[in-house]
Amino acid sequence: MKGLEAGARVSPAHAASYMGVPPIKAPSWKPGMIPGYFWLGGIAAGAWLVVSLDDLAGERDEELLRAGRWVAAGALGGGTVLLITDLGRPERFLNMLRVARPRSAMNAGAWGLTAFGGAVGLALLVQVLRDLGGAGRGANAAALDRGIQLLGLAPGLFVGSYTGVLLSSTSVPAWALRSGWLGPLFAAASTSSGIGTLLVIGELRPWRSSSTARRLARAQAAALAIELALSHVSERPAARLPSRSTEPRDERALRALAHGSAAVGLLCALRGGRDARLAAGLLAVAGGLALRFLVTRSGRRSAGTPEDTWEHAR
Amino acid sequence: MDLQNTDCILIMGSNFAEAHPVGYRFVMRARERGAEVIHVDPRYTRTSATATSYARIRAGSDVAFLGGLVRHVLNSERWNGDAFFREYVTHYTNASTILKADFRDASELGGLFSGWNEAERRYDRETWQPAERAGSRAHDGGPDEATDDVQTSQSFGARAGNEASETVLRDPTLEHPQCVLQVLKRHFESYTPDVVERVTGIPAEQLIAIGDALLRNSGRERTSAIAYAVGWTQHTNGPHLISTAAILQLLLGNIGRPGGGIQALRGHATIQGSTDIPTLYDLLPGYLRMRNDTEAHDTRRGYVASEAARGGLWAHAEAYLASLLRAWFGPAATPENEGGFQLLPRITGDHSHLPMFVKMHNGEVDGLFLMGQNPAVGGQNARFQRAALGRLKWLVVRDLFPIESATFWKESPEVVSGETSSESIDTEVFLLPAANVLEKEGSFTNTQRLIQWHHRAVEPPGDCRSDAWFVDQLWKRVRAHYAASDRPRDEPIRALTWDYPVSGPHGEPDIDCILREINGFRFDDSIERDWDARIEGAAARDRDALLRERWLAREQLATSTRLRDDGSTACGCWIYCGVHGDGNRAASRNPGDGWISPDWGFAWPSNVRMLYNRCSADPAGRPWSERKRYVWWDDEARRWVGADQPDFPVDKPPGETGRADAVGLDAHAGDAPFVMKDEGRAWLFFPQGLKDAPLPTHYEPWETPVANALYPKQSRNPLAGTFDVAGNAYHGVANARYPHVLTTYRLTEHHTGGGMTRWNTWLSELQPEAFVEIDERLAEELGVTSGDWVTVMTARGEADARAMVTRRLRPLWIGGRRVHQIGFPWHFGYSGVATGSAANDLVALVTEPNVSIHEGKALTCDIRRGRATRPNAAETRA
Amino acid sequence: MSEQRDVAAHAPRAGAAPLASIVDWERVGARQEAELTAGVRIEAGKRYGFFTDTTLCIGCKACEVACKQWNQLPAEEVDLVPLTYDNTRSFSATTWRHVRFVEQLDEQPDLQAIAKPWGWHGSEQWADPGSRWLMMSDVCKHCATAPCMEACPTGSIIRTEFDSVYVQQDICNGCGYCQVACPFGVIEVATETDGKAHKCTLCYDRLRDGLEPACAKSCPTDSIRFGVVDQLLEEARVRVADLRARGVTAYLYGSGGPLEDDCDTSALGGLNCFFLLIDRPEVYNLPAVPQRPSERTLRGLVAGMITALAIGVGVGFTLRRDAR
Ligand SMILES: Nc1nc2c(c(=O)[nH]1)N[C@H]1C(S)=C(S)[C@@H](COP(=O)(O)OP(=O)(O)OC[C@H]3O[C@@H](n4cnc5c(=O)[nH]c(N)nc54)[C@H](O)[C@@H]3O)O[C@H]1N2
Ligand SMILES: Nc1nc2c(c(=O)[nH]1)N[C@H]1C(S)=C(S)[C@@H](COP(=O)(O)OP(=O)(O)OC[C@H]3O[C@@H](n4cnc5c(=O)[nH]c(N)nc54)[C@H](O)[C@@H]3O)O[C@H]1N2
Ligand code: SF4
Ligand code: SF4
Ligand code: SF4
Ligand code: SF4
Ligand code: SF4
Ligand SMILES: [Mo]
Repeated sequence: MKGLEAGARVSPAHAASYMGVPPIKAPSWKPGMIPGYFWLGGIAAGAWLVVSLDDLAGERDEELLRAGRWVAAGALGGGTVLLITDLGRPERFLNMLRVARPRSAMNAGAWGLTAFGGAVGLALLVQVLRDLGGAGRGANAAALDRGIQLLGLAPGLFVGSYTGVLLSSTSVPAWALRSGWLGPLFAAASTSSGIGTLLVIGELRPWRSSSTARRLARAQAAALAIELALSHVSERPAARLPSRSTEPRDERALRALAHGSAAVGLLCALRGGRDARLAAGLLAVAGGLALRFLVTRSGRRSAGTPEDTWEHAR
Repeated sequence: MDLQNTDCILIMGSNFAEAHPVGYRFVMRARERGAEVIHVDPRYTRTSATATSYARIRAGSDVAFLGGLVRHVLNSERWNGDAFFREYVTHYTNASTILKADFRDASELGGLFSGWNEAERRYDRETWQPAERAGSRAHDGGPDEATDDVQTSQSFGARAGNEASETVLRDPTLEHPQCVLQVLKRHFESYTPDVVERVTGIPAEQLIAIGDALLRNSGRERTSAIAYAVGWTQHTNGPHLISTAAILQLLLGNIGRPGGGIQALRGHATIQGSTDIPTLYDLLPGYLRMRNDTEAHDTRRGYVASEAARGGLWAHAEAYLASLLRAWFGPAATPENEGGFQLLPRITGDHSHLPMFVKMHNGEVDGLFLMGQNPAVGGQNARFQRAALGRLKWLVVRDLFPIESATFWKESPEVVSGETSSESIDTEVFLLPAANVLEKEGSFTNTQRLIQWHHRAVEPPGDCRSDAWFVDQLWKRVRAHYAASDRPRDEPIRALTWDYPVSGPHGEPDIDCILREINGFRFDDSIERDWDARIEGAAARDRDALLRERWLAREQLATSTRLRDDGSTACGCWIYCGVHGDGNRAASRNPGDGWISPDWGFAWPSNVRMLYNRCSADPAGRPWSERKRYVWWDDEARRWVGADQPDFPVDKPPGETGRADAVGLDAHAGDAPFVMKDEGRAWLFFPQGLKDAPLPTHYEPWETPVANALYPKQSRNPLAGTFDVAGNAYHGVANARYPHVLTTYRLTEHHTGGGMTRWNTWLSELQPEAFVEIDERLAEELGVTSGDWVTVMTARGEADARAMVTRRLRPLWIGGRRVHQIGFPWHFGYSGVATGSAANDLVALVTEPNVSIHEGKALTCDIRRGRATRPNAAETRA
Repeated sequence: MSEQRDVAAHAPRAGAAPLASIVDWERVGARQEAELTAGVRIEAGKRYGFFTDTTLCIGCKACEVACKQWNQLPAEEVDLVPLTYDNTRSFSATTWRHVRFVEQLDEQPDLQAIAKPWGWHGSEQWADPGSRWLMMSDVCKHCATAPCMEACPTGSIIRTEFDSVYVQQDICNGCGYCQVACPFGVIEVATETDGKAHKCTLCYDRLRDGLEPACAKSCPTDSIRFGVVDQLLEEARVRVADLRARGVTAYLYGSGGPLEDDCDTSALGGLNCFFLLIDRPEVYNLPAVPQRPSERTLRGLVAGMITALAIGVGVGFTLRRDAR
């Protein structure tokens, strides 16, 4: 340390920990709820994203749009239930809407979630009315649909990615060191598992248009490729953490599952064919879940490893 | 508080920071002002951690170490070169007194002094007396061996002696071979650094370094202090330890000067108060001896002759006694009963704690009140003491919680293991809830003799009542029971005054009135009789108001010099006189300068904050130095002035010579600061006071891993009190079966037997369970790591706890072998929130001869891995 | 009887919202208790905090207990940690003060060949890493840019008029985000009881009434000093200089600026509760360079959105109808 007399004895940097007691706290979240929420929220965002883009990119695929809206609504609903279960009481969610604080990823997320939820809810309403024969058809209706999808696009993109930022904006070394990467990674994973869900639905109850499945498979392949690439890159900053070298077996299995699913899913998606597409979808969805569990779990362990904090906070 | 001014403090036999954290602030202040803080302890503790240096000592070897320091000081260049030391010692101590020619020192007689009577196993102290001018009259005081068997508790008075006698021979040059200083020098000559190293484990050069630190920080400009507590007292030679320290401090000129002194860090909140107004069986308030069954105490005249000195404050012992008797017996103290003296009961033998429990164990005691004591945990050989409790017919425990001493019949390890059963214990136990300190008012007297009042913060909950309430109620019932008795032995019960008003929702006695009685008041027989009549005639509901009115009307005394022996004054404790002289001074709260703070509480005697502070000036009355000025003679004002109340007659000039025919302080010269002493000078050699030596001598603990390297023929204290009872076998000297040293001590987080802490979850979470501290080397030998169970074994029993392996403990190299020291905090027991084995199940019953203190700090033991074979509380709880 | 005396068995007080001061000091013109006990007058609008001088700590844990008592925090079910006197180990929702004990004792030299006696260092052996037992009372740092506060999505965590960081219990929703944001492991959600976040309040309720915080008041050696941060900093700098002159490797942790090469808390804008340490921060379980997590938030959110969009565009391409 600067300014200390020559020969002053202090402990060497990194030599110490306080009896192995973690200097920071691991999350208090109830097991499973938060990764589950990340995953479901991601599916909702991914599904929304893909059907909206599909809508923007070409002719309307009514079936896909409807499926996308239902998936988004279902997943978002499920995710919100998990989030509220973790908080304990529904009105506790509302507490987050008393203020707007851009420096709080969770606050921003709450607003994003609300906005996205609004869009999804609106879309679902329109969809239900339409399916019941109301809400008309034709150019105006298409514009309305497109408008709604566009309205939900930005919040959807946000919901798909902010969860990664939520983690990296903490003092947990394994997350903090991956800042800048976790958001993109989660965005990719959200996309792939959203597409995956639609793929699976399409194979269980085949689309009327044969091109839907093929298009989705191509999209799946692209999303998984991006996810794999981001996975790889985003892990690098955290690879030097001491907790990585002591990774327990179950966490290694999770890692293998997350990466393996994505890789095999990618191959399947490329290969084409019903079974392969089904497999690709399932793997993408499962991989997305494994990835969220892997990231939260490794973070929890990193928080419990003092040396990680020393590595991070220096 | 004065410790903040010290330049060097030697803390030894105390874990100052852990057991006296609040007082320790002054040590830290001193350290930050640049003082050296030296901690000498068997263990590296929180005190060692904050000291500037630390020395590891073998438990029980402190006299050797301190003796080594005395020798180092006496032989040092500094001590012999600086006139200050010689001047201080010559004037203020008995260094110049010449001893009888036939006095023989322990160094000559292999560990015993002259006068040893092997057959009776006692000393004839005649040869320890000063030599007197040929043909002078035989002194009328002198050694008081007759009471040796009945007076076994703490006291500090210089009893009747002849030191003040003008016939005593002295050599102011301190050269006479038989003068105290030369005797002292010879006595400690064998305590060389190398020998000390072999005895204590403290490297020779460290002894020298510590001695140099003390020398460097003593003198005109600087002062050193010593602080000790029960790491020194609880030994079979405890008083020797403290007197070696006293000798050292006197030699260094550190008594009665700011930043100097010896701090006895007292224990329980008012343990000082409970020796001043004692809970001890053989003392009356103010350190007057209890009347005993020796011939001398048959009459008041005889008592006074044996207890009063000619010189010093003890000359007025009769006034103190008469005033006490007046306070206790009021109008019933009559000339016929020698002012109440004949109403005083007499003690017939040693009734200190351990002998009492041995009698209890023998079935000779029917009932016991335990009011604020937990011997089932804190008592030595606690198993034995629990068994003793089980032989009582009845036992009343007044405590805050259901402590072990109240639950032993169902929760003790003996009962749980089936060794004995609840059915076989016939003791009827009454557990009465006591109010705690915040729920009642009263006073605390602390380590610095400061009496501080505390007010009631809340009413006690439920059935909890103060101890004063209980004693008041009990006494009123006892008195009613004996009201009609005409047996002479019941006379004192009927004669005792008990005129405290009660008030409040629970009828609590008025503590302020009790303080007024302790303080003392002018006793006018006729006025008192008028009051008696008024009170007698009043309606029952007015009585308490009238009683209080009378207390307010009684003229309080301002100082103990106003006490008389003719019954015209009443005083519950002469040394406390003045505490209520002008309102309740114990309750005064002016922080002042944070050093002397004369208006914060009241310090006995006479609000003197530093005893013997006349020593802070040179014999001519000038401050020894500007830096250390405290109390000095102002020649213009013709009085002693300074920062503190002078502990000296304020107008006695320094040059005055003592008058041979005078009594009391008038017999003292103007350069005789020790007002309590017969001669006015401190003792470097004790012609009396101690039964077992006139000079402190290193004796090994009763159980020791090595023989005495200094006196191979006399390893242990020849007069230690032992108890030949079942379950109390001793290991003796160098017993290979019990190779390790065991010591017991406190933790900051708990208090004594745990009644006030082990039931409190906030404190229990900080130290939730018993543990044993062992060094790494021993742990390796035993194959244990931190957290493993270990069992410590002695001939008295086994106690298990989890091991804390730490470098704070280390083995020592003693007598040519590695000696491990094992530390066992003794707070734990089987009841409460934080539990664990009681360390005292391991300790033996053995006492020191002068004050009956047990030896709980140094014994021997063995240790093994694993749990005790006898299940203990911790296990049964799990 | 033991029921009557169960002094410590209360749950944390929920919903203790800011209280109105009972006393209007200005009007009464009286001295506050804090002026007597800490020599400082407590007034809204000033920055208050602690200067904890660990070289004065004697490990008595009075501060820890005083905090629990004043705030009526329940004791925890702890197990003996037979390595150390620190059975508390870490902060929690019910432990807001925590005293650490660090044994730094060299291995014992060979007994029979003692050249230099162990434990004797002439002076200041407490400052020598070969023979010392460090003690340190840790607490919430009341960071200037408090990560917990920045992370809090509900605005439950506020900065009070004394510049302390305070959790409003009625607003906290128990999300636990503050818990992972705090770089010092201070704040924690009481998952077992009220599900809300708890930490040191800097004795907000006491400050309102002119009382020094309970922990500082109880500290016998003034290791914990309460006061106005700027004044404390001045005192602390003098103290550091003094100790260094004595050869002690003292430095301030949390004083706001990069005082030492590799210990820098400036990312947090300074800690209102700062410490004088004599060994590396990690020895006391403190991060050398605590980070401000919110610095990653905006950047992360934007990066996330942009990549998500890029992914979308990429994927969008693949979604084009087969050009058949
Ligand atoms: N926290 C707390 N404070 C207390 C108490 C408490 O129980 N808890 N009890 C109060 C009471 S009643 C008392 S009497 C005082 C006692 O206060 P202290 O005497 O300071 O306390 P102990 O821990 O009993 O012993 C002090 C030290 O003596 C050491 N020691 C043991 N044997 C020897 C020896 O032979 N020589 C030397 N030099 N040292 C030795 C021990 O290792 C220990 O560190 O504390 C009072 N204060
Ligand atoms: N091995 C070993 N043994 C030792 C010692 C040692 O160092 N080593 N130290 C010795 C020393 S110094 C001491 S002082 C003794 C202490 O041991 P004990 O004399 O047995 O004292 P405590 O355990 O403090 O018991 C005091 C009890 O009083 C209760 N109490 C508190 N306040 C009140 C009150 O106002 N009224 C009433 N009625 N009760 C109250 C408390 O709850 C507690 O149970 O132990 C001695 N035993
Ligand atoms: S418990 Fe009381 S007597 Fe003991 S150190 Fe604390 S304040 Fe002083
Ligand atoms: S130390 Fe932690 S809990 Fe305290 S203000 Fe800073 S971030 Fe918040
Ligand atoms: S747990 Fe409470 S205080 Fe902490 S971030 Fe969430 S709402 Fe804010
Ligand atoms: S300031 Fe108050 S709340 Fe904070 S640690 Fe101290 S006592 Fe506890
Ligand atoms: S009260 Fe003071 S001395 Fe005691 S542990 Fe706390 S900071 Fe240290
Ligand atoms: Mo004691």
